[in-house]
Amino acid sequence: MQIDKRAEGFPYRMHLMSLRSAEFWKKTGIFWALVILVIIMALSQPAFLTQQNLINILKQASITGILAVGMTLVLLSGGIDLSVGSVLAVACMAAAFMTTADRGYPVIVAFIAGLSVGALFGIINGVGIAYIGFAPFIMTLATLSAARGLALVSTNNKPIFNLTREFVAVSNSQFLGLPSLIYYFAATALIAYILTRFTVFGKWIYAVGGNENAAKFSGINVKRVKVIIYGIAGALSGLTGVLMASRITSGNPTVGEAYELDAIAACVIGGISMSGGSGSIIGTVLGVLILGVISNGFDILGISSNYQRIMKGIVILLAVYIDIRARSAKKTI
Amino acid sequence: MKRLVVLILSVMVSVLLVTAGCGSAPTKPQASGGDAPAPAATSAGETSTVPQPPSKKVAWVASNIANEFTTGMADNAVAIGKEHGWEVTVFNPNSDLAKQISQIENAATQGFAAIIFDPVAFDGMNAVVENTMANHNIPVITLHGSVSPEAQKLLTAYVAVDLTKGGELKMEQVVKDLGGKGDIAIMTGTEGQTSALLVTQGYDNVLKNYPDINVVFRGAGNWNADDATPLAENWLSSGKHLDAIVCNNDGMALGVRAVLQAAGLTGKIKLYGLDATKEGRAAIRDGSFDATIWVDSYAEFVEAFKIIDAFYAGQPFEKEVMVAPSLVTKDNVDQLFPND
Repeated sequence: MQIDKRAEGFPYRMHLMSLRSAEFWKKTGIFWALVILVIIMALSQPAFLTQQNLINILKQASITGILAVGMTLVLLSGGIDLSVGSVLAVACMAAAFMTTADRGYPVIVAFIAGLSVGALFGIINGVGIAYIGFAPFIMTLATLSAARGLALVSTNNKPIFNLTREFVAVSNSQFLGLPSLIYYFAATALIAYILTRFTVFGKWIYAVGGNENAAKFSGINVKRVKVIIYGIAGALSGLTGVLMASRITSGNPTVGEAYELDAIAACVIGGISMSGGSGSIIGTVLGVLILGVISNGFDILGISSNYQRIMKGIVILLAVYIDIRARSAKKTI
Repeated sequence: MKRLVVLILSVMVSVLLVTAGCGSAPTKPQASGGDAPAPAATSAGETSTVPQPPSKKVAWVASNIANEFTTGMADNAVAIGKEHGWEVTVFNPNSDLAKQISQIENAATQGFAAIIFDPVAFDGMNAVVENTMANHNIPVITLHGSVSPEAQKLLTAYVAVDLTKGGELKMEQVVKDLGGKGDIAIMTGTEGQTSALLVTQGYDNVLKNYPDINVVFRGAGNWNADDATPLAENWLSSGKHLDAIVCNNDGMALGVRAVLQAAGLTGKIKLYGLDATKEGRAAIRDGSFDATIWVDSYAEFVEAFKIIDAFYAGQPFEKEVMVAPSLVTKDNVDQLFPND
């Protein structure tokens, strides 16, 4: 970089610039991690940077992405939701049930069914946590198990198939050259971004996660906020269930197993604090993309998915390490 | 600073879009080609309509690689592919349907010359099969498992062992060993999975003719010994009488065998597997398994690669190939597997 040394007040400006650049790297570190990852993948496999492949990455990351957005809200409030994968499966069954060719309800019914089933589980989680006082980990662990069981008994383990063409088109159609799933993810992320950044409710989420007691004394109805947050996360799991049913053209009770871990991983990589109160949706989106690039890139390179798991583990630790360093650096400045 | 992040993000997105825009030009004719000859063939001009393989790579998209049988499948895919001059890449979706769909999409757009896959679920693949077959002129074959009839119709071919037949053969042997009367437990693979349903269907086809065979328990051991072990322990500790435990695969039967041994019940409760894996065959020889079914994934892959070669040679091939299963007992194990 060229610096004009003749400029007045040079030392002062230098100081300002270094401060700014430290802040800059801290804020955008995860973005650069994604860029570096993309460059590595592109160099090692030319097919990576094709239009079709980039679209594939976005499409395949969308379902985890929507779950991760819901997870972000929960983590920001200082909780955790382990039940998202199982709730996804119940909603998947509900949506498929409504749209089999012989029932043939319109697509909107599948969305209503899936979203309300999801929201219901979310509200149960929220009430259990906020009003009864179960620890979030315990409450959602119980839901993880119960919801999966419910998905399985709903049809006695059998998948639901033969869904209407209109419903199958939900996840398998294109709009302006991009798969529809990408729009669902983009819309979810955008709405969540606005919710967390520009609304009072967003401030409440951060307040509850940052210091629950302080939030309570400042007049926030912490319990209700929590129920709403878990309700939103549940509804988003429900949405992914509907999209999943359409993508796999059936209702399958075994889908979504361990998806909660991917959602949590995406949040953590994106810098969402596990203790609540700090992080942003943009980070989560970047985390989702990083996971998507890893899994797609490794598939293309023909590397066994077992190595993907190892890689994911390393990336998670690395991301949190960078975060810790950035925080301590900020304190020393 | 937040504005900066947003700015950088939008720059990234536009860069992505620009790259995407540039990339779109060469891929378009291929996409619109449909079932017409591949671009390579058209550019060659004088050649016939025989499609040219886009690469020497073939994708084997497994259902999982969690037990000896599926590990053996992956080895067979690579070895037999090599004999036919293909470089085989193994994909492992770990029984996750959505992941398998993604892997098939990735393989198709990455220029693999053929895709062979073992579907995680019978009913889940319609959309991905439709898209892949509409946009890529490459052979796509299901192996071992199958997909719904409408998707199967679009696919190049279907190679499988008749698992229902295997289930029938085994249950007939069970009936024979028990003299047509007794209490049995059935341990299935992961609930809702195609191959588990087919094998168990074979059991039930036979059982309906033998009302004196009483099915005391049915439970899922999820194809592996880890889940089979506690399930078998619970069955034994229930105190109910059992004459035989019939498992959907050898992997689970091996888990059950350990439980029977620990309880001193080896030989008292008969044990049946399926797959005839190496360990399964050893168990047949030492008498700890009473029978298993040889599901020959080697023969399946030989058939699959024959189809791929015929596809690119412009020769006709069978759309449906059924490899026959065979019953393996102590009497014929050495004859079927002389090299063990």
